[in-house]
Amino acid sequence: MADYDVIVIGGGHNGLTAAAYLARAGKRTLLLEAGSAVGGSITSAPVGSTTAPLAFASVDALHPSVVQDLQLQSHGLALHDGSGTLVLGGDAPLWLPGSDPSSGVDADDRAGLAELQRLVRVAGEALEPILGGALPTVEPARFSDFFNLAMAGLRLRRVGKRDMPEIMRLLPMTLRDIVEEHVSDPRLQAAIAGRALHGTWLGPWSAGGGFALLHHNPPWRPDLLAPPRFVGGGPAALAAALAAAATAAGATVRTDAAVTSIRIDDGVVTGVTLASGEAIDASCVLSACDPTTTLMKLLQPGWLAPESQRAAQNIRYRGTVATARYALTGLPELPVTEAHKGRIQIGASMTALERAYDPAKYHEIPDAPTVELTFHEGDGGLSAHAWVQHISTGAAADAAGREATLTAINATIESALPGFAAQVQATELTTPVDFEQQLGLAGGHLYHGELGMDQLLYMRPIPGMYDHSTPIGGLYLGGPGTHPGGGVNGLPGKLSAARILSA
Amino acid sequence: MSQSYDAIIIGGGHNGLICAAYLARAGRKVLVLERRHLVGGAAVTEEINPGFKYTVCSYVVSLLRPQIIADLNLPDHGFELLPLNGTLTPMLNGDHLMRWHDAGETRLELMRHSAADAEAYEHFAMLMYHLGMAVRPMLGTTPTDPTSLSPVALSRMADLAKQFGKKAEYLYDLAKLMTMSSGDFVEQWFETPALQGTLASSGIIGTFLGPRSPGSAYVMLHHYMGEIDGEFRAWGLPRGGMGGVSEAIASSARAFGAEIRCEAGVSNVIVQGGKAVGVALSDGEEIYAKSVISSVDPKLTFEHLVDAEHLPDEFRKHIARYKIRGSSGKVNLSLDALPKFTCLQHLSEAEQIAYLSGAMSISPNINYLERAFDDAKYGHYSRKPYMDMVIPSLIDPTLAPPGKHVVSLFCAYAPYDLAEGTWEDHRDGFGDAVINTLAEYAPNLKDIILHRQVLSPWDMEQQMGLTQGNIFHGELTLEQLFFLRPAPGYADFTTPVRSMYMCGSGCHPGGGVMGAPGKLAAERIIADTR
Repeated sequence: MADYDVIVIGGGHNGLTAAAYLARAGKRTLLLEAGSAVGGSITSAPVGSTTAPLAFASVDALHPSVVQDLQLQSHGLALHDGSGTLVLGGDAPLWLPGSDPSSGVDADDRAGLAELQRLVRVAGEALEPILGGALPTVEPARFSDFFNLAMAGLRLRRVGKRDMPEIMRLLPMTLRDIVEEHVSDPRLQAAIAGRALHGTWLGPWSAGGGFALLHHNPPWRPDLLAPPRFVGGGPAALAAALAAAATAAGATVRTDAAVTSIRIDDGVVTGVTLASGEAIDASCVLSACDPTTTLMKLLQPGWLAPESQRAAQNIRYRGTVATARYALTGLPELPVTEAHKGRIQIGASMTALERAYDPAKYHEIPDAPTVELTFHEGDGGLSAHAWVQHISTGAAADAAGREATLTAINATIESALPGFAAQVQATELTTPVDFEQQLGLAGGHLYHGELGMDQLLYMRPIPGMYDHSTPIGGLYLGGPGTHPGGGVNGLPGKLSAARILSA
Repeated sequence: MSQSYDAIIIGGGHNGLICAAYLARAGRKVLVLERRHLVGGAAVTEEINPGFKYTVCSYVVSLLRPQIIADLNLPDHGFELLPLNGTLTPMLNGDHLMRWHDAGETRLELMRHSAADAEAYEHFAMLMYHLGMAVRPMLGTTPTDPTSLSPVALSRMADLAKQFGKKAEYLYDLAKLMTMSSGDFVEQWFETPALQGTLASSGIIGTFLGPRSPGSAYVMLHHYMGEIDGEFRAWGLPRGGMGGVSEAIASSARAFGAEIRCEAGVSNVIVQGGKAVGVALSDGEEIYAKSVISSVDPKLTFEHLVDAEHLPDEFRKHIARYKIRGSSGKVNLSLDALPKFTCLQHLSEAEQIAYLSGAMSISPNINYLERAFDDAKYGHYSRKPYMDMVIPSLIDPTLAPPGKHVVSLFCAYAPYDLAEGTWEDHRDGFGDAVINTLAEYAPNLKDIILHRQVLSPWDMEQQMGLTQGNIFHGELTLEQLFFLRPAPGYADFTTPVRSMYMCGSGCHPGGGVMGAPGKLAAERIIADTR
């Protein structure tokens, strides 16, 4: 008998989540992480004499069921909401306090904001089973599948004759059009659009913004102006809690255990082989790595049908992010003091966001990137984290590109927060190429693939694999490259584990 | 009081004329009222420069529904489609890419650039054919309202589902096509930049999208529909220029008994008791009819021709947010000789004419188009525009004096809303940008220009009544297509005003010289007024 029922490849938060669910259900589970610590993109990294988040600084869309089912609080997880959102770079700062964001909004825009919020909430509720759960099966000609789809359609129809077309209309629209139809303050428009662009290769002018808006404001956290949700102790504490939940349930977690291939015999999985040469047997393997790494590197060529191979090659990983970490001697002067416990978005109009996106299309570095800044108490003192969407993999690949990227980021921060540079003791830049090398991510993409209309739902990661399974017996996919996509929600891990358990 | 009609149609563009012809053919007494001195709307030929006949706005036909051509006997009324030879894309390095009407010739030409692309092209064409066939039934029928739970609507949805079910193997491709950008879509198929650029460019026409914008792949399919209605690559120029097709439809409508009045601009729809009973012309004359049909765009119709008090608030809001941003301009030229494209100078004159007797596309790669779009986003015309060029006089020599030529240039982008100044200020600068760009590929151009006409989106609005100069009466983006076009609940050619209908490109299935809205609207009116 094999040593394990399920091997989970990849110790990012989805792999850990899946391992915990599987172990709790009684499966003998082994999780293999290539790095020296679990966490993947939910981790901190050194800068100067302290630390700061490496990739994600907050966990805004973590699904409550994951926290509850795995009893993460009992394993040390403590979440708290930041103080609010500060938008800088415009005529005047806009402060949206977390406790009551609309109190910071102009009276003229309140009604429009409320209507847009209502629409997003209604859309999210109608689509919740799809956004937060497994997609209805669509193998043609099965009555039960037709029934499931019809039920999904009916749920959408139940929002009412007026709202249904509004929701259907919203999804393919550009963020610019959506937001402009509702509010007019450019800083508020930018605040709504900014977060929605994470993980996408979209600008505010690109169609499909509605999908992105809904993805980043899902039914379990639909507030468009919600403050960031932080993990007490830093993002790594979430990974630690997940790992504790998994091991408490009986899973084995091994680090420094890079998998180099998934072994297949006669169309079914038999186990994995590590870089060390060690072979481990299991009849079920769940890969939480990105789909391209899984399907094109870990699998021997030939196991995928030609169309699937082509589709896997065509998965796009644009829309990458660079992050910068700063060790600080103290806080810079902020126009709103409590903003240091929230998120600061430097990018105060849709035009600014669009101009920050344009260069990425040509693999160039933007002069004025959109920067989201948060402050942290690292292990060794105050630090800051800058999240910079739309730094293209190619543009920041070499030394000159890295320097240009950091210069642009620093200049942007300094222009919005004069005196920031004076507080900086040390800086570290992580580019998409770095993420690719350090975290084994194809293209360095933190969401394991662009969040675009054509790479979501039934098309994520490729046609035919929307339910976390693959044509190979016993092989499943469970990273954010699968439904419902990335951002720190834990759902791909949860849904892929459920899929395995229901097989 | 003027004599009464069964139907008055506002606007003598091709959809209005087609609607009139079908209604007259069904025995109705129809009057078409056209503001300008000639019918055709944006499909007109005008002798702007004496001796030179410009196909002023619209310049090619392919999407005109074969059913309409047959039903209205258009060939008997002078409609003749002269095929375009193909599409020439001059390349930045002095080479060229030519896609011929003949598939074998195209394959040979593509092999010159990339064997892989030559191979892929046939599969691509096949896929587009199948996807077009999958979507085509929807173009020929009134969209079903998914919010309706009526048995009729549900049964139609089931039919639609069954139709798509038959094309199940293409469902994923169709889903991708509906959601991807044209640039991303073609990049998955081809590697030659000029081929990528040219194919992707058909996805941006009539939209405010770039080749990297999701949704542009659908527009590419919309344009590809023309490929499947007859011969492969059946884009053509009507004899007499685009005015030829409008005149043929008008002649057919008259033959069925319709009356057409030009220089009769409508200023208001007369509504009594919630019902449209006629129209008022700008000179005050009132004409009455049982039904009033507008073929002009939804914004012009509902924000100018119908008093607000007759329209529900919700509907007015929907029309207010209907996107109709013009993004293109047109440059028409009289030339003293043929332009000499650098990329063709190694060929004999006769060979060059063969290459130039189709469309010429200035679209050397996808980034070129995207940068052109970037300019437009921020309220400027493209410094290096995309161009779709035709030399109509090579195809129909009656359009220019012997040895001389007319040139039609569709140019993107030219945004209706400029960041600074007006189109009066910038029209010439835009014209210069177009000429200068084209001259890079045909250096003798400036020496041979006898006359030029530059139409900005503003000019198209002023002259042709196209709101914001949008050539499709509203952008072809998913949020305003099918059951959402032009507004939720009104995709069936009706309006909130009883006995008032719409029949123009602002209705399903959208714009291009298709004629489908005109025909579908007529069918609805005939059914309603039996």
